[in-house]
Amino acid sequence: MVFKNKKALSKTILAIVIVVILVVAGVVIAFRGDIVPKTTPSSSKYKLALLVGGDTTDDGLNDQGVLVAQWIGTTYGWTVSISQDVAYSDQGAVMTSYAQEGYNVIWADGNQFIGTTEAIAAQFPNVHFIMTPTYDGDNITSNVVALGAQNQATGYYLAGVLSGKMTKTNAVGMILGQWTAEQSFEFYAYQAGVNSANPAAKVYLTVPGTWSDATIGYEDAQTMISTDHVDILVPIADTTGLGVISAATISNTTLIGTVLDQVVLSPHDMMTSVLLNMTAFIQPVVQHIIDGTWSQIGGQVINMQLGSLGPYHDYATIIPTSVQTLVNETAVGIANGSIKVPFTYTASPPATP
Amino acid sequence: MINYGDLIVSILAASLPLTMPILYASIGEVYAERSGVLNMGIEGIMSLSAFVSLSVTFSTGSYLDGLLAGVAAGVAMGVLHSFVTVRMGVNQLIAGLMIYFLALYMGDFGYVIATKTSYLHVRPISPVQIPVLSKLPVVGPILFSQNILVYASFAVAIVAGLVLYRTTWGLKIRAVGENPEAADSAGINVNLVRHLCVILGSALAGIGGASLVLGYLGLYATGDTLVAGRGFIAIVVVIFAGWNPYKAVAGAWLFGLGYAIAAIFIGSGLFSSFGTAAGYFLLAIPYIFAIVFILVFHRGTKSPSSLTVPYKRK
Repeated sequence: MVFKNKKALSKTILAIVIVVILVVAGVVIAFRGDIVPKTTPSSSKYKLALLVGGDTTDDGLNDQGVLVAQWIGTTYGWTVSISQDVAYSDQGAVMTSYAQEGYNVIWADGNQFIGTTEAIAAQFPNVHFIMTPTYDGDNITSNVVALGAQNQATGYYLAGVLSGKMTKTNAVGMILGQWTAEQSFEFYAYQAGVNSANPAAKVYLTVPGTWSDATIGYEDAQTMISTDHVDILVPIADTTGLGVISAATISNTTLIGTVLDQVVLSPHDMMTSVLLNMTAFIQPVVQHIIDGTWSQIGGQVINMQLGSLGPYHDYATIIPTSVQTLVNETAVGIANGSIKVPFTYTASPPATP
Repeated sequence: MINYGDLIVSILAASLPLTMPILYASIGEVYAERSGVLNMGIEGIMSLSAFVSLSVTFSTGSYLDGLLAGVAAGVAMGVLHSFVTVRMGVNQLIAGLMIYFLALYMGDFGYVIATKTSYLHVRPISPVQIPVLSKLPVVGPILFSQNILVYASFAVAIVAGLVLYRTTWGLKIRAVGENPEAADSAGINVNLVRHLCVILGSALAGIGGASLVLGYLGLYATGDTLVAGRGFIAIVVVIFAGWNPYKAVAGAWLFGLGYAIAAIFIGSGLFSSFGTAAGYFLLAIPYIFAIVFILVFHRGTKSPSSLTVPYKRK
């Protein structure tokens, strides 16, 4: 290739650079938006779209949604598409786009999708919509099924019982990314569990107001540890929670994870995790769709006993046998109805102790 | 019962590591813009460098290796940006935004792939307790118990100011930014100066990103939630500091202080009785400080005359 002059050479190099940048950016963005390999398109007539709004690398709610969606694709042969980091402003467009592209099941995993799902579902009555994790409204149409908050408090109550018995400073804490009525029961159930096991313990609460700033979470945790002498922390805060976990790990403060077993985030300080068995909810919903019995669940808010505690890992030898027994007995008591887990939710958080 | 004295000391002590990444990035950007080139990609460069430094440190166990890898990532992006803007004359705003997206998503992509095998996290560099001084009441915990990267950020700022205002090289940079034609006539290679300043700026942005991981959080988060706008704040700091490295220290520290106040007030529960609205107001504090900074320091400042203007010898 011969160039007439430097200008022609420069323009050619510029064009090549721009093309390379665009190709790389395109590949990165394409993968970024859908890092989970799509299942092989099959003869299945079902196409599932999952929307999640945050980090999918922290064994948290968003990560769990991706794993369950993958499982559906693998187990049932459905075509699955996953949209990650869906911003508030994009929710409506993404859902509408999926509905128009022929996706017959749209799963919005995150309470930030509630309003949009209610609205979009009404516009596409032939599309099945699934809302998780904690819906407590009364505005869903017959093509929507939602996972209710009732009965999900069990895991948090058990975590509270464990925390109440294990705290050495009589100070434990929860950091909740944002306070919403739909999620507030998690704090109150935890607090009730702590109080039942150790009435002298104080339960501190911090609400950073953001799910997506690890720095704020880090400093908030540091403050609770140094000022309130909190020695057990429960972060429910997505990326902000990663900062909490980092601060707790540096100061060897005990942690309790949520949704999935989060021990990998802090192998030596994660005492246990409050597990949310999403598959137990999703699997019957999927089966109803396949069986054509959607009418049995459509328009309903389904409450299931989904919460439990995960393995103790390194803490298995640290938690006294008597405490482990107490936790097990409490779980049995809840299951047989002899222990009632309070279900409380409020629009505003309580004042700090 | 809250001890307000301890609270104030905590805020001031936390403000310095929160200043650190913004300061590195803003000092680098001072040099780039003083030479006449705007780099809007700092945010992405910091994010990419954060991932690279975390990944290397996690793999090798060496903070130095991680830091150098973060610098290398910054340099690579700087080379790309300077080639596109200085050599090719592409609009600097557009080029910078492309760098932002490219670097950001490269970091996210790499992280998501890497975490399929193991969760990347490292213990941040421990604070250096300076003998005797760290034991002083009040100032000890604030000034003399920080990690090496915090101290280095202020040292870099001082050296940057000395070089810019007291050396021939600094004079050349300023000349190129103010009047590239005159600088060219005086025998200065304008585009070489710009290339080097952009690359230096990106290298320092890389250190800023690496410092967030190695010197503070020990982790990475996708979706630009780790750097969380600090790269763009660094650009704001440069403008409001009048492209002066010394004033950039004050500007970066104001933002760091604002972050510390917001985070620690939220964590202390001081305003919990005001409900969730208090948290949202507190999160706005750094930006309120920015407005104060503008009003106090911005008067009379003037941007380099050839900022964003490509230079072609006539």
